[in-house]
Amino acid sequence: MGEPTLLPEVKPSYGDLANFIGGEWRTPRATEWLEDANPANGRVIARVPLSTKEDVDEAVQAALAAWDEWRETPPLSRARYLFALRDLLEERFEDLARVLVQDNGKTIDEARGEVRRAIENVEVASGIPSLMMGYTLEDGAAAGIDEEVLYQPLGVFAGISPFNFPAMVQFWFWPYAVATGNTWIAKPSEQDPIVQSMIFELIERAGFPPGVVNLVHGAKDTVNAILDHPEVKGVSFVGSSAVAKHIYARAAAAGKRVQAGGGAKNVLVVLPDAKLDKSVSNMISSCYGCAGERCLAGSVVVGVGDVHGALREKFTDAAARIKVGYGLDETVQMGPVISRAHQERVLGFIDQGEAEGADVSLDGRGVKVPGYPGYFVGPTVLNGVTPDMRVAKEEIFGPVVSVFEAAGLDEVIDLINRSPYGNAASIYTSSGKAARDFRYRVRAGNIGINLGVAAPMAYFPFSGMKNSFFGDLHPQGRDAIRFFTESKVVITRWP
Amino acid sequence: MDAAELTTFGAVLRFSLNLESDASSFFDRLANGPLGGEFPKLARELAAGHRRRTALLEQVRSRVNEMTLEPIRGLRSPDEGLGRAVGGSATPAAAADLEEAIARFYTEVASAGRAILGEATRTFQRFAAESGRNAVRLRTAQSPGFP
Repeated sequence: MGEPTLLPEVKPSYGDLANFIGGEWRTPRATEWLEDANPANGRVIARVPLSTKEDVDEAVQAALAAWDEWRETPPLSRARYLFALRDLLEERFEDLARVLVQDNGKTIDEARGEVRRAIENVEVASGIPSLMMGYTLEDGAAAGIDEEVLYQPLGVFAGISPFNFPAMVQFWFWPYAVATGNTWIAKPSEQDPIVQSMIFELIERAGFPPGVVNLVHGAKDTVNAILDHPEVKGVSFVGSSAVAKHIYARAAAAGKRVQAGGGAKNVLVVLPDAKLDKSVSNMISSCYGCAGERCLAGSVVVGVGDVHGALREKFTDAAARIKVGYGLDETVQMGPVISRAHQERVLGFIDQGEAEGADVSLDGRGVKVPGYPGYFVGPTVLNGVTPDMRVAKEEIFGPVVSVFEAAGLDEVIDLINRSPYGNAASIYTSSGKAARDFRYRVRAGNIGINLGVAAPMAYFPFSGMKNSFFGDLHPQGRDAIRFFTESKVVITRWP
Repeated sequence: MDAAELTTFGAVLRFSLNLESDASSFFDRLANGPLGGEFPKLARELAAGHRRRTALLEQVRSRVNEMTLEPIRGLRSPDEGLGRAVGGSATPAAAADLEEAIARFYTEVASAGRAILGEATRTFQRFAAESGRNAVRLRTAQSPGFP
């Protein structure tokens, strides 16, 4: 009775993916197609077109043609399309989550959490009549001369999103872009784009006017065509730091607004006064959730002073208990990584760490999941890591955690601040003073206090510093409203 | 899978959903059985209650907050008694046993701590209290002509 079982896949395969441009599904001009595989078993489940420059131009022209009428649509009316979409996303919630598992490899709990986060952004952006209000000051310029600020949309924006959150990250951007009166082109990751195709079926059903929201599949050349297009006013991006920097430079050179999130090397610090068992349980979720393919994942665990020995032991023990498998099995706690190439890269990091002198106290290199010949890497713990080792410095983006020992909090803060990355950092402690000190001094955009995944909700910006973010205004929250609008000042005098 | 293994939020919710579905079927059988007195009405009411819980649990499952997901340790599915109760003869005594077992299960789940998210914990606590009250009602209900 009542035993969890393997959940069924929505469909065994999804065929050749199409673009959605100007309210129609269109076959791209692409001559090259990529195979999209289920990471748990390696089976090809879709083919992804590498859309051409002409395909991108077609999408931009459709978005441009839709813009005038859309920006004249009152904000509340624009929000109503989002309300309709929100209901459709709820209706297909479970299917979206299962497709995510099938295409990305994360577990069903993680997938449901991701879809929930996507919906949350639609809900927040639906409040656009309030969010987009300007401000005014009577006699602001002089007696009898009033001054006000209006927030106005700019035109066509585009969003390029990563493989690790294939549903959610597009929603960090486009509900705000479209709610503020812009039009949108989405370019999802070529590694797991199926869920976006499914979401666009819902966007179509929600009745957005043709051209307001468009979908173009592709890879590097498609991205460059977006970056170079003169009619694209701004670009939102999340991916590796190297690509984020490229996007920032190339798009900015073309006069566009850019918000580009990059990679991370997040440190979790445990002080001797932390509640150790609860901290370890939370850290496990941070480090191994989504198989470590999360820009907020803990990658380095540092025990300060006396706590280090017990922390190392309990952390390794908890990591060893993680059940690895296909995410549609509801008892599985960690799925595969995204691709064979990425699996090899992650395994290469473990080899390198070992070669540099780290002790592989939990080795995920040989993990096998019966019946699933996919891209699995088991939870891995590297002990005795020193800050100069490659595994301590570079983003691995897999379930591999380096464990350090530090004498004091100052040493750890210095370690974090010397890193070229600044995405997230967390501290586990019972001391308010230590937590405050950490929050104040650490140069990272998302800080967790007794929390290992400091993921801002939709009404707060998803921050990031140093090489983890290129740009000025972050996704989500008030930053998003400002990013997608221009401030116009009006000074009025009536004779 | 190992019947005792409830290691994730999704697994707990799946088990609970199946449990509620089985419980509503059990009470449907009880309502349609040979009992007299107030039992048919009470059984129909409880069957409907378990169906409502299924819908609530689906909502709880879809409101998962990825940020606070943690692996679940030390939580086991109920012993064989629950399986026997839900699959066995639909009698008033078995019905009361079933509600008591369900109450125990939800009490245990609700105490699993932070791994079970706050909103879900409150739902499980409510279900535990409700099933406890159901068991008392079933034990005290009179059934003329039933042994």
